[in-house]
Amino acid sequence: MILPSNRDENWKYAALRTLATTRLQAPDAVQTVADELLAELPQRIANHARLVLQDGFWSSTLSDALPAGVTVVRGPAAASPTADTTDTDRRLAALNAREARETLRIEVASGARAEIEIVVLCSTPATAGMSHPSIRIELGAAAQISLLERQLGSNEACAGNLALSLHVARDASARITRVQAFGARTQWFETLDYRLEQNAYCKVVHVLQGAAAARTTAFVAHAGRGARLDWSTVALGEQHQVQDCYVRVHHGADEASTVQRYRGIVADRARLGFNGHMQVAERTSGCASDQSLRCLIAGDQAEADVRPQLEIHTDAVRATHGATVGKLDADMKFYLASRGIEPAVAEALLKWAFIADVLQHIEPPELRIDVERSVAVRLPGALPAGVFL
Amino acid sequence: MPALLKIENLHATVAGKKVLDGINLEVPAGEVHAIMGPNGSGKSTLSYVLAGRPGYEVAEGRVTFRDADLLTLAAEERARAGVFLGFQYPVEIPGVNNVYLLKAALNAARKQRGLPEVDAFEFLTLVRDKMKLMQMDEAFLSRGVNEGFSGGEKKRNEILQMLVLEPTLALLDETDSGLDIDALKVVANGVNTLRDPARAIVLVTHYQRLLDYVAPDRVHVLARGKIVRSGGPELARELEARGYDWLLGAA
Repeated sequence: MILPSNRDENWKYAALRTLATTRLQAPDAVQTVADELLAELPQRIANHARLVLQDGFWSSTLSDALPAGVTVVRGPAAASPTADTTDTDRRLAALNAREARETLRIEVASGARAEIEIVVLCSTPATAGMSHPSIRIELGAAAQISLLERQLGSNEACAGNLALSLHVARDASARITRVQAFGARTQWFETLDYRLEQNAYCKVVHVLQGAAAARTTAFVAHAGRGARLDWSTVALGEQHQVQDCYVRVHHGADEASTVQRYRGIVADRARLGFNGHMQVAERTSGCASDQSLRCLIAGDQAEADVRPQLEIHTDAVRATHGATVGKLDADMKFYLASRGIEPAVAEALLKWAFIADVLQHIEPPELRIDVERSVAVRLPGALPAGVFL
Repeated sequence: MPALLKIENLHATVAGKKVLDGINLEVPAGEVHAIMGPNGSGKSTLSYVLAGRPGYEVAEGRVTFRDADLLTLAAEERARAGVFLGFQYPVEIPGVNNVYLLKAALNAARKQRGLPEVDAFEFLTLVRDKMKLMQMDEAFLSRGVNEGFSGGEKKRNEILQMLVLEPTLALLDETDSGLDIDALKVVANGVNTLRDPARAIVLVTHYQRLLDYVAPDRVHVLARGKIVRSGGPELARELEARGYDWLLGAA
């Protein structure tokens, strides 16, 4: 299988060098989860059933009992239906389809509500193989899901390639928080496929803070009239990290709408990339797209590439976009200094302020505070605004 | 009375351009001094230089604050030592809420003075008292610093911060600009509250009207980077009547 390379337009900024030398096959078996990784498992969020995939395999010992509608299907045939080896952007999903040993299937019946936490562990050394977690979620008509995806890993040099598909039927809604906090030597790839039917609603807050290199490729299809997507990404890069995202949203039905926010902070020699690709199909009317992509460069050798990309094939559309890359505001820094705030704390506060408008979208509040605390560790001195009072 | 703030032959440049051209000024503790002058005379630059704003370079001269060399301190050190700058145009900082900034600033100042940090209850009691004085709604506390505030609200917020921090030297840069008469009275009342034999206040202003409510002990006219005339409160009234032109020849 030919894998993507940096010569491919949508993969220019991804870290792919190690992919060529990585053993792509799934490991035959997973290692015992290290104690330190177990100790890092976060506090549970109330009412959310915890489901754990370790290196692509269902972990019955670390998971709660499977809730109604959740099954684990053996074998690679159950993987993402959208894997397509002819499409460069989907080749890693195709690789997942070939290599995944199990698929976690979550079905929420029409009108039902589910609250689920999926923990994706990446802990087996890359020398033993690449993990290929596979997840498929189906929401029936008017169903609701609150989904928290946590991605954690050991300090080993690990490699993973997730494929996740989500189908949101008419009038259904999905509220998704994704927190990537892999170990510092993890290489991570993931392909997300969301399909939204009539009046479906999907809200995603995606927080990227771990891994040596991570690439998210996301496809969202507005397939039904009035489908709505609210997508927010926060990416923090430091040292030599590379965090790259490509999000393609296809507005293929009337009155479909998307709001997309990106806030990246890049320091040291790290590199952040975000390509928000909005497509609006011919003969659609009343679609709306609103992009706000911003990146803060906090290091002389840090790099950022933030691209709004509009591909509009109709006149009956409202599309706005804004993209900025810049440094911390000198006036704000001086204002805080004039109040006695140490420069390092002032910088942390301003970085916090930069991402706060995205983090505030996380629900429920206890999860937001949990995520804020984990981000605050990266910004010492910047207590989350909501914690104090 | 010995000077709390002593400025000697201060020359400063901004982006390579000379703006302050040999300022001499002494402000004793307990006094309020007004700095007046036409646009571009260097009033705001003087405030920024004293507060330690990066980019405002001192080319020559000396500034002593409480017998210490102020110019050797970084901006945050000056603030913690008791220098407060009330901004002409306070910046908005969405995402950093007012109450967090106030508490962090207060605790930084207290730490400098060897005092323990305030606890949440003590702090809120203090802040609520000061907000009442400034006729501010408590809802402002949970908003981002100056975020979405009107011009008048921003100025009130500056004075609120000053009242909470209780600086030894307050430099208020055109705090009266953009205020209606009612807001001006509230702000002036806040400034007067800070008057104290141990403190000094330097008001930078264009107009007499603030001085109707905050009576200065001394008035100085700054023109072309120099103080060209000093006097009592009557000087401000004379400026109001005659403008600045008659003094510019002295610059």
